[in-house]
Amino acid sequence: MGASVQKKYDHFIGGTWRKSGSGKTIDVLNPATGDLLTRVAAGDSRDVDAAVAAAREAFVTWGKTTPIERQGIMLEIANRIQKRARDYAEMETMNVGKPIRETVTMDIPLAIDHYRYFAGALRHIQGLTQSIDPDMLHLTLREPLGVVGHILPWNFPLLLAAWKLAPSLAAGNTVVMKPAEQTPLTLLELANDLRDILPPGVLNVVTGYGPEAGAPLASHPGIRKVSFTGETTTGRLILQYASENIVPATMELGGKSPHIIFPDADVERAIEGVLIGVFLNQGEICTAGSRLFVHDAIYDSFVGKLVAKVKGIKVGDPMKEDTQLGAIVSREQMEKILSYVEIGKKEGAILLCGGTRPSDPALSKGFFVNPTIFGGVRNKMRIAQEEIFGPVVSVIRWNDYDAMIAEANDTPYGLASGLWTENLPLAVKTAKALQAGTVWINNYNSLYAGAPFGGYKKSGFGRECAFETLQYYTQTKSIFVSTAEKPIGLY
Amino acid sequence: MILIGGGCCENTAPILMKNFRVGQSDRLLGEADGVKVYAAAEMYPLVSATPSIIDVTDGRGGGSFSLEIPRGVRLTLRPLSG
Repeated sequence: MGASVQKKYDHFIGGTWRKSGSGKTIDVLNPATGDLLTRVAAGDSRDVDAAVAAAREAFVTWGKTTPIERQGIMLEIANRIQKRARDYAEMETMNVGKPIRETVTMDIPLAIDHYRYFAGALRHIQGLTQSIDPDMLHLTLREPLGVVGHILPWNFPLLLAAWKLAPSLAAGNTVVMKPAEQTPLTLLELANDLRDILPPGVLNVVTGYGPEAGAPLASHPGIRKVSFTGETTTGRLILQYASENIVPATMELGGKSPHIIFPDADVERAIEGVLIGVFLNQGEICTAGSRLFVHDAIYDSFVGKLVAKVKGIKVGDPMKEDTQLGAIVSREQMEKILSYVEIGKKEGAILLCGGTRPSDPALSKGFFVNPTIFGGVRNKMRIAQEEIFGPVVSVIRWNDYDAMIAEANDTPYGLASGLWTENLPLAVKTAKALQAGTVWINNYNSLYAGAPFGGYKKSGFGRECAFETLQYYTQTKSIFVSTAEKPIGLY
Repeated sequence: MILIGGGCCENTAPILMKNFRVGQSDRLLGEADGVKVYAAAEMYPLVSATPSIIDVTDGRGGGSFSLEIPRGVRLTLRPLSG
């Protein structure tokens, strides 16, 4: 194993490691083994205050850097991650439990690309000019906001850090990030790796629990924007904090995304799409295609092939190259997923496969759940309405198009959706009918820098990953320039 | 107060908060030890249909701001058995 993880990490504030005010630490585990991976600082408002102060001081200079300077630095950030790509992949796998083949081919490359994308996009941060009359010129400048606070979830730690850090820095802001307490490792390593290229205070990382470190950050009067990816109620709480200081927010909350199979779907590809939709990252993904709508005409054959394919999924040690489903992030999450299996059974859904922990004794100390399929699900069941956040898919039979669309949209959420058909007009019509921020046609869970990502309805608001994201990280200044040589004559 | 909410990294869970402004569509479910328990509007039909208890488990949840988390425990919603 190449990646060397330190025994403990302090906060990263003002370009240096700083001990926590509390002196307390948080244990960070490897969920595949249950072993201690590292310890990080249990931060509180003292640490947040120091981090915001450092970020504010750094903003005075960073906010005035030229686009060329920032582009160069961001391209170098990408190169730094690329140089240690395998290390980062291993650390992410050890911390989150996701398979090494995913961190190597998806998490890390997507993160690297994000910095490169925004390094280029920032050169297009432009305003407009208008000639109002011979003596009055109007122009706009897009200026950075200041200090931005980010609160991150545990499911894609380095990638989601990139989604937020890249546009923040590109636009000239400085940043305080609070990673999830379960998965702070790769962000702390990144902060360390960038010490000689980012001026002190531009990137600050405060680790800690939500109520102790996240709440002070979201409500800090020194920040000019907050972003949050996580669960819905905490999103509401953070919006309340944001309202105290009248700062804008980006919210990326839950999802219960519909995945629709039409009778003419390419079955082999669609089945792979279903697996990508709900077993990638163990299903711990906000966009998971967890409600599978399969047309009556092909239901039995499709579901039969799906179950056979899913039974062959290799669950195992996420550090092994051929593992296809890794560990759930924590014991509590694993137990919650299993409790939803019981809920599903009680509701009358048919357990077609999975629903248990693996029997392999080598996996008994880790937090694993076998890939699970429920058949005969009705859209109003709890397993169809509540986000399970695990490797569980609920199959719903349909035959009436309008009723199916109504059910697909009958969820408080609207993050993503997928559909499989060879009929182009039908695909376009359905894409327009779905109330979701992303529609995947004959694919699922594709992500690409430049494709706006975000939710409809209670999945949140704001868009990440795209050029328009820079609008959320800048503010417009209107400047009127008068070249008049004589008074107007009003008074 | 406690709000039972859902979505993303913790699924349906009771979130214990202070000074949270309860919304017009949040529904009061009852009280637990003198603490008011609400369900977010979209959760209400799902959780009110299943008699449940709020239990305490070891662990630290999935990243919400529930107040008990720094103590190393987590509130959880369990269906009443039987």
